[in-house]
Amino acid sequence: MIGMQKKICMLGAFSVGKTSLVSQYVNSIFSEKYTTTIGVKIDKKQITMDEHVLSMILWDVYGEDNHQTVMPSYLRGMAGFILVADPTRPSTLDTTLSLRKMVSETVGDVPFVLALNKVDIKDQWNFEALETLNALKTASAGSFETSAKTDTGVDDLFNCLACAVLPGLPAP
Amino acid sequence: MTSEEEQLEQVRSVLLAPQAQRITDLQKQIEALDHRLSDPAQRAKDTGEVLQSALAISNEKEDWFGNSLKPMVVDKFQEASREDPEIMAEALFPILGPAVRKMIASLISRDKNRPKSGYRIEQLFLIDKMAGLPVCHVASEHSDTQDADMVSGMLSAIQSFVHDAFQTDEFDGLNTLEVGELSVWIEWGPKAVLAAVVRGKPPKKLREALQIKIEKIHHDYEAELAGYEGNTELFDALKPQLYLFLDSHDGSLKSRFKNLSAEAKRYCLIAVAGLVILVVLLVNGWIEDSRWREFMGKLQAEIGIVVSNQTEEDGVIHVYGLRDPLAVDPEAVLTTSDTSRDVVFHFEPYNALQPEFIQQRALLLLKPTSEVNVSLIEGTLYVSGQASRQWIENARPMAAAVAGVTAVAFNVREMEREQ
Repeated sequence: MIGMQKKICMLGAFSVGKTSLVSQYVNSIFSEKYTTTIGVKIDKKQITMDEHVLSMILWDVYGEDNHQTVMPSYLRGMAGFILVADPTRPSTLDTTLSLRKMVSETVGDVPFVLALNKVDIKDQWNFEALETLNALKTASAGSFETSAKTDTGVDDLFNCLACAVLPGLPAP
Repeated sequence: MTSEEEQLEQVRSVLLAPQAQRITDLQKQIEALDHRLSDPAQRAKDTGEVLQSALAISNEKEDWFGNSLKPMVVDKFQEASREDPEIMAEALFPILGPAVRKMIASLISRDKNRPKSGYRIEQLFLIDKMAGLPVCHVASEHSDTQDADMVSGMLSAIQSFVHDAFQTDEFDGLNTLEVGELSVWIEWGPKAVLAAVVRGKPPKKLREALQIKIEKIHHDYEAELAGYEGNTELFDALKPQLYLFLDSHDGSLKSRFKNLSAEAKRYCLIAVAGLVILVVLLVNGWIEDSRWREFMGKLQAEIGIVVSNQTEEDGVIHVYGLRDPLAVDPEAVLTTSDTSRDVVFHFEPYNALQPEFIQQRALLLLKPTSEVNVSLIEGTLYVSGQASRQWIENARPMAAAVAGVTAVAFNVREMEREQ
């Protein structure tokens, strides 16, 4: 088995459910208050894929509607990222687009997956900019409808990104 | 004006006087209000007096005041942050300091065991500078650590935070975190940083040692660090070196000994054994000295013995002095004492002048019969009673010759003459 570790960033507008997705996926040892203290909280998930034991070091970066508050240095060295949008608030899709642009300018092109969160209240989804959504879906390594509340699509989301950041692995 | 009109005016002024006064008062109040409203300073003062009450009422009624202020405050806050981050950093500093310290404390250890002396490196993290991933991590047996991967990430995040918030240069980053008796010393290299979690008070030379170590790591693992993509196995060979570093900088006494070379340990043991022997000898010597002093005290307290000198030769103590033949035998005093020393006595004979010795000496010399009484009072030897003529003739001259006798009162009757 080959031990590998990769830095993964969770990015998205304020209150789209990034921390909830991470909490659903891992057992945190750090309090959520760290996110608001210095703007990031670190978690870890270890998964086995083929001959790899991958440690995903998850950087849950504090998100605000104004993406400029994300510290670029928190993004350095990441192997991939998860873009989280809340379709009940259309503006969060614009934020994901801006964040993706910011990532490209800061660390270059790295793989990402798109999480359309809060699928448990899908009847309240309200996406107007379908073009933006489709562009993001196309550029991503995969897009998933997720819900931390009902544990829908969470494992698939992270596993897809794990395949994308590990060289030579086919997408699931 | 006619007299009738004058009368009417008088009646009117009498009837309408209260109203006229009221109108005058109101005019004055209007002027005063006008003055307050036209004076900005006065208006500010008036508003200030009611603002607190207004906020309190607002809080009771769905906070309409706060809600209306919120967008403006947030906008101005963001604007100020962009325009002058330093001011914001200064403002946040008192809040962030304690928060970060608490976080570091929970990150690096839950171990409350203090080193008994000196300092101890509990953990060493080699962290990839770019991603904040742990390249290599070792921890001492005393340390109860959290997950090293996450701790490395948080340390890296804190470094990034400080770097961005306080606009430091690339190689002027965070290098010390202190939380109570725990501290994290961080040394920066071009590709990786070396962070040491230290308990206790480390010496300044540790900083230099960390610098040398991070330089050596960059020298030895240049290619691996440059192309690091998360494969930690590339650095497995580094772990023993880091453990060695960890052990060699344990400042506690036990660990200092543990870290010595075999030869140094041998010398240490010899030194300790020698010290123990020395202490035993010293204690024994002190005990024997005490016993000797006790013996000499007893000897010198004996009447008729005067010690003038003592010397030691080949482990034998020679005691010199004077001894009245009537005095106690020094060998007898030696036998009853606890001292185990070999002693040779060199006493010259002399006549002690103590009254009891003079009297005893007189008795031995005169050999009086039972009818003769011999006593000594203040140097005078009193001899009385009755005895033979021959004894009297022998004793009389001898009585005066007894050493220590200053005068003789000889009053012995001759027994034969009476018969």
